[in-house]
Amino acid sequence: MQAPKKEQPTRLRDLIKAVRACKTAAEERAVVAQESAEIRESFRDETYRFRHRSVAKLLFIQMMGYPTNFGQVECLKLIASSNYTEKRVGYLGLTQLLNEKDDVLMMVTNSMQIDMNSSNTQIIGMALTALANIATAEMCRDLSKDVCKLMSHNNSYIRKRATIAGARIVRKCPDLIEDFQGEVPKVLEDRSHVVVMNGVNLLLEIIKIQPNIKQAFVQYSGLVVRAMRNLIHTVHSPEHTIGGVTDPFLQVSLIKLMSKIAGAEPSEEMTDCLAQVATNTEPAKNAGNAVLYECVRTIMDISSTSGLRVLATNIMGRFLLNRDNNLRYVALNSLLKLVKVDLLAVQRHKTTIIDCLKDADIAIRKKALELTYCLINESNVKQIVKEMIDFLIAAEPEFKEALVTKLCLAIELHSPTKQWHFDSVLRVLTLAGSYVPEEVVASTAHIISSTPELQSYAVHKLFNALVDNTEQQGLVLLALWSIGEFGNFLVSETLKTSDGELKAMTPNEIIQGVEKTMTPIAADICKEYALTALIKLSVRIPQAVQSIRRLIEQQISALNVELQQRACEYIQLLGSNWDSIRGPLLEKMPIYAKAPAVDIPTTDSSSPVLEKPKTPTQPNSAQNLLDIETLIFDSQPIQQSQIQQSTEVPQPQFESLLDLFSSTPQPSFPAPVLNPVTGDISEPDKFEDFVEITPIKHNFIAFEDEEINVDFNCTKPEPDALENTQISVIVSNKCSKDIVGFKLSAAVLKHLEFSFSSAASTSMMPGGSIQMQMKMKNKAQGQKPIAIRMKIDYTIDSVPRSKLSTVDSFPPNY
Amino acid sequence: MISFILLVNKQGQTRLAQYYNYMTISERATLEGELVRKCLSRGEGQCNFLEHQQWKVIYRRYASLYFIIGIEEENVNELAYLEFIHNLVETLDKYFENVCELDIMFNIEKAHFVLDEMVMNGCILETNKTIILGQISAIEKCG
Repeated sequence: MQAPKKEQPTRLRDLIKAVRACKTAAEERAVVAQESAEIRESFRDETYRFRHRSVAKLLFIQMMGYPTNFGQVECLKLIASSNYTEKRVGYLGLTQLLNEKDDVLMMVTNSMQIDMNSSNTQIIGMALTALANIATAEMCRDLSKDVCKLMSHNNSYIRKRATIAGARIVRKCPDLIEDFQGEVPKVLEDRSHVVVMNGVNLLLEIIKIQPNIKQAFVQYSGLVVRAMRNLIHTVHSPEHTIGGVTDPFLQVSLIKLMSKIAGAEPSEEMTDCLAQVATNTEPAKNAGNAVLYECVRTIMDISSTSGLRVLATNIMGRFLLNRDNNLRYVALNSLLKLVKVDLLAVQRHKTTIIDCLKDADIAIRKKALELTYCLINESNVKQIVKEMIDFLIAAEPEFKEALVTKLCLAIELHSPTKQWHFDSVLRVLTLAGSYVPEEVVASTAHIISSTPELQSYAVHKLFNALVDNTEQQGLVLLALWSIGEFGNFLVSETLKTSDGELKAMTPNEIIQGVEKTMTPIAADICKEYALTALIKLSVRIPQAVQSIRRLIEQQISALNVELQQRACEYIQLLGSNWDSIRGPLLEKMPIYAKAPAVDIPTTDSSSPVLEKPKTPTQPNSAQNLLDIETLIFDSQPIQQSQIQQSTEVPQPQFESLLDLFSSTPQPSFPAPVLNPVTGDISEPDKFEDFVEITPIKHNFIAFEDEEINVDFNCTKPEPDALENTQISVIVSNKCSKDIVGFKLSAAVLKHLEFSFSSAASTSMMPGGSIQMQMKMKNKAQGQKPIAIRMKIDYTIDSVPRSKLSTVDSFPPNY
Repeated sequence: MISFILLVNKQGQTRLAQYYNYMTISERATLEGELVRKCLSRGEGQCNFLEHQQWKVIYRRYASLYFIIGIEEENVNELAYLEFIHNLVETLDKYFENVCELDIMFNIEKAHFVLDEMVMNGCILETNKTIILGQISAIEKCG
């Protein structure tokens, strides 16, 4: 009696129990492995009676995340079986265990065709389900005729399935659309609700694939409206009613379809029908609200009459006031759509929307923030920004970042006065300075520097804020920069403002304030800014030179090379032999040209010495460093023009804010810097070879379109091997969708050799970027230029893109 | 179009999953984990909608089980899919007579069959409980 008992395999129930009894992941793996082995073994036995049980177990195993490929062929065998239960389990296994990428799938086409022509409706149904769920394009093509035929089957059970299978076929093989297009009116008029609903699905699918044939379907709008009418007017049959609404799913589908086939101007009967739905649908239950929501969206999509629009906006207003967060979420969502067409209508709900900013639910807050941002204009910016800042105090970090970004943008775009602009940014910086993007800090600095009447006020305010709070990096940077530039106002002026008096500071207080930002735990970038502020203060407040020297000296031993070098240089600069040059050198920064986002005219109130004639911006640090040196050694015969022959493309201007002392990597050639160890200044003779050097750095945009941007930042890493170029390729995502599977391939001419390090990631979020390194050796350097042919592949929304581009904007003798 | 329907319990164990777009097993496991974590982090009164990667996610908790639907589409009627989740739960409830997590787990193939009657190719196929269950019992009799 032992033998037959052994034949009996574990039941699914027992397998689940065994898995649940496992205490560790390793135990679980062992149980699954053992079971998988038994299932595999059992498949070998052709006369095995428990195949379907094995498939059920495989479903479970797969759901736990283990591979089940070995069961695939078994599913095919089960499908071909004449036993009904086995066939059913086989089809289930087929749709769940296989996917359209598996080659074995092809083998089932024949069985499916046989089943579709079966006399048993259930068997036809199974085959259609499988086709609709996993068929490949090839299978779709093979079985298209059979499916088309089944769309007119006399049983609605088959018709509804065949219709959805049709949707699969047109998606996989768009060229077969014509075959199904003809069936559309028939299914739309079907007496079974559910067939109509699936007919709508098919039609929506066709329109999605070929939006240009939308026109052809406008003729059906009468049909659709009639179907909708029938639906609203039928006496409630309990079978089709959900939450007091007759077949809400069908209503939603029909209304959605209306928005696609309304044509240039919706017919009067469609408008009437929508108005009727909008007024008569019962809003007490979710089902009714789903219909209302769809109705509102369709009204907004089509060119509706203003009366209809008002109706729609009012429904959304009602949703917005509802206590149910789901309704508020969809209301915000659709108002976001409406705001692009009809700003005024949305403005009416401003108060409610702003209230949503303090909702307990972050999903609501995020939507509300987006919408609030859209509502800001010159007339209400003060009020809305004030409220947004109030919410900033309580916001959690995750939300803070989004809020700050929008807030800063709004301030920048709509600020009525510069004073208000500065005050608002300062409040944001004080509350959440660490979340403020670098660009905002830079643009605020620009405002201060370009508005002389604001300078004294700003530096006082910033200094006071800094003394209270050195934790917000954005605030620290802006404050340090201003103190460096305009520190003289701090000692000389006492200001009266509306909210009290801003006292003049003693030199000591100022230095102490700066010192607070230079604690050992402070970020290096803060210390860099602090150093520069200090050296600038040495001319603005000469009384404090001793304390300044002390603070700078502390950084001579800094671990960060940049800090160390700067500290050494500045200490040298404080020496008495540079007295005459120090003043002009540490003049205020010139007003740099501004990023186009903000249109502030540059006034040349100060005409600093460092300003170069006719050069709008100082594009990179290497260049600027040279400028200082030229200035220091201006007795030397270095021709600035020759050094400036570089062909750089201007970088975003904000980078030049502090680029005089920027922390970007230094040029690799022996720059004439002050020797940090001995304090010596290199002898003038050393400078002569400068004149001949090819541009060391070269940055430019190698490729650009509406989705991505490819920047090349080229350097010559080895001064004595100029044929070698190091190119850092930065690819950024400009569109609002995720880019995945990014691949860059390149080809070069024979005189070039190159190697490529692949990127760390192949996907980019909107606004994100990836970086790659390319090494290029130009064997004919000086004779032939560098040119690269690039091929760029990536995928957006599972649509692959491929682009070709030739990059030849390298300098001629690079 | 629906990309996936998941039934996941509070411990993060998947009890039923159907995917209508191709994803590898490991991608599925990662997605399921991330989604449960997101759902768990949300409170009772908060809305039932999420945005996760390219999907609009509509979820609802019934006792210990999260019903999660992911949709890859620009314009989703979230409320309608929420209603559909409820419809699915009611159908399962009627079929299993007071459904609980264990019923679905121990009868996974049956749960799949019910779902197959309701969703196909990412489209809602049928929402009428009587028709769905009538069909299933007819099939079961045949077997």
